[in-house]
Amino acid sequence: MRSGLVAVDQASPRNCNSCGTALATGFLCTHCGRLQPLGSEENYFSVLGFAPRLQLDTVLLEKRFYELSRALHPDRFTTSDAENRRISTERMTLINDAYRNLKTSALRRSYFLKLFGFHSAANQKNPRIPVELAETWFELQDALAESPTEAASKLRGFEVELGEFRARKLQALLAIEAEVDAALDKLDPAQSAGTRSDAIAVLAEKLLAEVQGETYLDSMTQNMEHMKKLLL
Amino acid sequence: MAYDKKVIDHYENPKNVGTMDKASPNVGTGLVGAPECGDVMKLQIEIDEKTNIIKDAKFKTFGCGSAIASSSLATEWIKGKTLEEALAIKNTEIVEELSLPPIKIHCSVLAEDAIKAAIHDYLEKKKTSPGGK
Repeated sequence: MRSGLVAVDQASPRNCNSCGTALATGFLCTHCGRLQPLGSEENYFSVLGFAPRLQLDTVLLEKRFYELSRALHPDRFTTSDAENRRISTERMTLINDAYRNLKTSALRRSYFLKLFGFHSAANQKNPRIPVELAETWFELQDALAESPTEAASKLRGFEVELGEFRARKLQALLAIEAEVDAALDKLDPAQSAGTRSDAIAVLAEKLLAEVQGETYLDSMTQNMEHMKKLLL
Repeated sequence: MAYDKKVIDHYENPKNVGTMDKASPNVGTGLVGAPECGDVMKLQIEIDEKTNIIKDAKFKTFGCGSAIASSSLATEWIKGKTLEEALAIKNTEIVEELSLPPIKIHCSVLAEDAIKAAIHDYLEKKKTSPGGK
């Protein structure tokens, strides 16, 4: 779905599907009151009026979600015909999914990468194991077998180390996200789609590699929590 | 879904957990990971230089039960084997022995990769210091 790269920032000016009047908002014709059917180009970002970006103003996101929820509320369409009621439900369903997926940064990141067609890289041989942390963890396992008291104190030290490592990783991740967004902001809409994907692809690969390393930290954290229950 | 009894056995009573001296010329170390699930496996082998036979094998891991079982089984299997024989071990044999479900196949791949990485590390060491001592 590389076409995601040419996704428009705001819904571009269009005309009402029913009466042909120029639309003021993306989804409702103020002239004839018809709801506009969902276009195939709509995505989670566009239905909430955002350009596809990794970092969003989540306060604004929530505000838009509530505004749209009110505007599309079924009570408003009780006197409408079946077609309009169907469209309102369809659009609201998409908006609910969109809000849920864009609200948190991790889900938003994974949706963003999918939208731009970068989801196959999990198969890459790019393990990026946090070697030093792994070694510390293995030493901790040795200590556990020898002296539980010593292991308990080492475990506390490890928890701090892991927390600091995660914080540094998060900073790195946010920096790359900002880089990707800035690159998207700079794109000239007149440029060919091909050049665009090349420019973003390099950054997206970097982002994916960073995200992939996360799984090791997650499983390490799980193992640590398990050991904490046993020891502390 | 229940795990096969063999997986549980290896998980609850893993064989060959431990560490060898990474710096020793007769020890090869392989550290591999599966980014899909976050499992990491460290497998070490001690080799008899004259016969090229794996005298001993140890592993360390973090991750799920199947990863522990796969590495435990892998270390059991490669002990007493020549490097060539150990290199010939396929992940499918581990899957079969442990009756791993499809979703856990990557754990067996990880074990196979770990064996290869450890042997590769040992051979690289030999190359850089031909005396090996």
